Formats: sequence, C-alpha cells, structure tokens
Amino acid sequence: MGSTPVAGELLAIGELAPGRIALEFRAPNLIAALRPGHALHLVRPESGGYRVRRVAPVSRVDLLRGSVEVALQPRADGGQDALAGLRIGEVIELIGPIGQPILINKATMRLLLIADGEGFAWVRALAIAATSAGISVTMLQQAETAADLPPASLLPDVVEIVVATSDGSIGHRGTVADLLAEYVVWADQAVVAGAADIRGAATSAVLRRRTADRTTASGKPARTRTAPAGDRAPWLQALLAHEIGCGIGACGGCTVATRAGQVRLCREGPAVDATGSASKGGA
Amino acid sequence: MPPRKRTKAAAPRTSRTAQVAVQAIERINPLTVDLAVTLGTEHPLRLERPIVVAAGPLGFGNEAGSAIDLREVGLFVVRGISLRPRFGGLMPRLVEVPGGLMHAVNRENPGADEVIDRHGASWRSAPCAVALSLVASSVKELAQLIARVERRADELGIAALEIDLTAPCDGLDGGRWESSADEALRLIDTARGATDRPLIAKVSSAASELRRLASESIDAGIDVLSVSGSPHGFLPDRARRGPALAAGIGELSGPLVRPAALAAIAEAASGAGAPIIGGGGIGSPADALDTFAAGASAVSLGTALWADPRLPGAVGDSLRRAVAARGETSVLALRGSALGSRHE
Repeated sequence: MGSTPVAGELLAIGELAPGRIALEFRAPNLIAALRPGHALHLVRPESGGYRVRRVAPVSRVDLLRGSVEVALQPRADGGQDALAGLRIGEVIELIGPIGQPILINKATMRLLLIADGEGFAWVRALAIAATSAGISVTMLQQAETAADLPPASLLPDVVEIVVATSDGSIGHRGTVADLLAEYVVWADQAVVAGAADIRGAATSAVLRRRTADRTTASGKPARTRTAPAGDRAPWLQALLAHEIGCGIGACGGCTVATRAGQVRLCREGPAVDATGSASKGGA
Repeated sequence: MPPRKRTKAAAPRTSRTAQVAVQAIERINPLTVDLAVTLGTEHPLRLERPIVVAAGPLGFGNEAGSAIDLREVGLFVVRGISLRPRFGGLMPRLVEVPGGLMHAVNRENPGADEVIDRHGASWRSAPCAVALSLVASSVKELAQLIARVERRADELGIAALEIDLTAPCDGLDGGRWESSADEALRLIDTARGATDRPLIAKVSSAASELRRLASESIDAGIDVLSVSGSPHGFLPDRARRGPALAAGIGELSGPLVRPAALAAIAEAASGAGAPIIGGGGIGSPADALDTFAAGASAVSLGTALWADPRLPGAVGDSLRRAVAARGETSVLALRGSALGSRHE
C-alpha cells in the first residue's frame, strides 16, 4: 500500500538509550530515498497473524552497508511488540519513506535540536546530515536522569550536546526549557522532537524570541525579518510522532490541525510549523 | 519423525457413494464459482464479489485505488461523510492495543459537498460498486444529507447508501444510534423515505437488541445489515495519568473484536431479516470463511488492508476454493454453514 514493501534483513539490534531499541536493516534499494525526518513502516505479524504498519523513525542511514537504522517507538499500551523479539538475520517488510524530510534552509549555519528520550531517534539522522553539510549543531537533550540519556557516541563529535536532567545527575538540573532562551538567540533554525511538554517549551521560547526581535530600543515594533528566497522552512519545526496507520493519508489517524490547515503526518509530516499547530498533537 | 516415504499407495477404500461425491466435487473448477451476490430484494444491491471495503481505513476514494486492487472488491464504502464538516479530534487518534488497535477519528470529514467535489471522480471510475457512509446526529440532519447526496448520486454512480448507526446521536446524549433500536429504526425509516437507493445499516457487535434490529430493520426499509462496526474501547496511557487516545474512548479494530463480531453476525443472521455484511477483525481468508459460516452474505475488510493490500484477492480465491470443495457453484452456499439447524 502506498510504497511497495521491501524486504529488510535485520543486521543488528542496538539501543538508542536504555530500553529504546534500534534495529538496523539491510535494505539497499530503500536507503537512497531516505532523508532526515522520514520514517519507515515495519510490518511483521503479531501473535495470531495480525499485521499492522508500525511507524519507526529513521535514525541513521549507512550507505556503505546499504542499511538503515530505525527506532522502535514505545507502544501506547505499554506492550512489547513482536518487532522487539526479532533475531539477527530475520527478514521483515519495510515500507517507505513515510512522510517528508525536515526542511533546512540554505542559509542556516546554526541548527538547534531539542529532544527528549523519545524524540532523540527523530533528530539523530538530522544531526548527522547537518554536520556533514558543515552546519553547526547544538543538541539540547532532556532526560529524567543520566542513565536515561542516549550515549554521546551516537552523535557526530562536532555536535555540541547540552544536557538537562530532572535529578541533576548530569548537566543542568531541570529541563531544557530553562536553557532555551540562551540557545534560540544563537540558532538560525530549530527542530524539536519529543513529548508535548518539551514541544510546548520550545514553542514558547521561540514566540518570546520573536516578540523580542520585533521590538526596538525605542519600543516601536521593528520590521519583520523576511527569509531570503529559497528559505521557506519554518524557524521551529516540531516532529510529531504517531504509532500506526495506513501510510497513505487516507485513514485520518495521524491528522493534526495547524493554522495552515490539516496535516497528515504520514504524508505531509512529521515536521510541522511548531508555532502554527493548534492541537495537543502539535507543539 | 522421519518423513514418510511416498509410494504409489492403493486407492483408499471408500464406499461407492463417497466415490461419487468425490468425483462430483472434483468436477467443480474453482474458477467457475460465481462470487457475485445480490443483497436485498426490494432495492437489490448486486456485488460482483462478496467483498466489501469498510468505511474509513482507505479514505474517501482518491487514495484507495493506489492502496489495493479495487477489481478484487465488490463494494467500496467511502469513509463517513456528514452534512457539515466534522473535526476529528486531537492526537493521538490511533494507538495499538493488545490484539488490535483503537482509533478515535470521530468521522472527520470536510462535509459532503467537499468530499464529493474532491473524490467524486474516483467513485465514477471505480471498477467496483461504491457506497457512501452517511453520518448524522439527528433524523433531520440525515434527511438533509441524503437530499444533498441524491442530487449528484446518479452522476457519480453511487450504488448504495450506508447509514452509520455507530455514529453518535444527539437524542441519545451523544450515545450511538445502535444503543436504541427504536431510535435506529426511526433513522432508517427516515432514510428510506428519502431515497430509492439500496440502504445498508451499519451496526457493531455492541448494538442493543440486535436480533430485533435485524428482523425489524427490513420492514423499516433496510436492504442490507452490515454487522461490521467497531465497538468502544478504552486504554490508559503508559503512565496511567490519562487515556491513551486524546479522545478517551475509542473504537476497536483487529483480531480482538473478531469473536464478538462473529457472535453478533450469528445473532443477526438468526433474526432472519436482511442479508448481512459481516466484518470485524478479518485479517485472513480463513477469517473471512468464518464470517460466512456465521451467517454473512458478504465480508467487510478494514484495517487489515493497511498491511495486507492483497487480502481482497486472497479472500476471493479462498471463497472460490471453499465453494468448489463443497461441490457448489455459488458463494452463498457458504452462508451460515456453522449455524446448523438454527439457520435453516
């Protein structure tokens, strides 16, 4: 349905963080089309033969190995799905790419990524691609405690990683919301991925930044800065995850309302203009 | 255990009667089995195959043709449409649950006129019959909706209208139409007065007074009863601080609903009313055969199509083989085979 299923052989099982499983599949015919922001649908029968199309964000593409690494998202019901029990060498159906790539403006030289444990998988590929393109990347990573953090080795060395933990076991004690004000003025563009609270914090910080931008020392609003031609991406994009669905934009299961209209995450998403979305599913 | 050596064994001893039966069965070529069914008598709905795509999973029409081969389908039911636009609610709208999935799309649609404008051309060119699933929260609204649809239904080649009795009803404080047989029959009666097209009434396994509804709906004007709707479900989120779905209550699909759906189909079939489209958790050809055996005259496929777009073709092939194996030539020979004397 939609894209044709491709056989993917499982090459490796890893963890992006404790309990967050990543699967690397050999799928040379698929990887050329994959970009940061894309997801794949993984299809494997659950017990009883039931098959669903489970959304898995692409967290890394290895052109030399002809492989793609995707992250298993936690299920809403807390259940352990059949994908977590895959063994090396097993083959499942992969369908993709699902969604659209994250848009990065040509003029962007400083990219701010904001993520929690669940969001990390969605932005990892972007961090790798952006640094390869010579863009300075700072990652604001949030976690409950140091043990929940993704290993720094999963990101390129040149990425600046700033950590906030709720218990203060490493980095800033608190949340990334406390740090955003400093970093949004540094960045040319930002992308946030994760739960509603972190998306909301990022959106608020960006809206405050805009207000500050538009007010001159005299107190009169300044003229709004316009992006150069060819630079049309929203300043802050939020990556919205969804679990399962039809993958062709037909079922309505992943539709979110934004100021720009309805966005079907499997077709027009997962990135939406964070300051334009209008639902709990938005930022 | 070592594999048994294959030898040219002597023909098994069978009685002459059994041999005759075997010969008769062997003479039926599955390809000659007629899958076409005509549902209803007053306003008959003819389907080239007894395979229905349920309203919802494949959308309003434009996307369906790229998702599955509609030539393998007898009836495509367009995702529910209403007189005015309906908002689908907040995310998450769709989550996995043990044994299936749960959705709360709230019959989101941009309104009948816009759906017809955007998707009508795909219905006209579809290689199967097309039905519109109508969502209304009051009798008056349904009458207006049918009037709106009827203006263009012939031009668009609409074969039938489905009345969604699993949709919320204002008069029942937002409860489903199917929760009151009286209200459901009143809605059906109104629909019958507004159209001469074949009418399908969709209920779920949770419908109240299902047997009564099945037997009386035909007098109220229904031609086909679709026992394929989704029952309600609820699941807390992982932290148990709220519901997994933003809407709270959702609708269930997948294997977890299948036994209850089969029970409802069997109950409706025993009501000796309208012919039944049976659905709910059908994920394989074997599931489809079970649904026929429970009393359905056609099967409705839903979310299983997302991961298995070849399912309609597989179901069709399986039905042919099953009919041929019984020495019959019509798919209706499979209907109610598991109901025994209750159904005869």
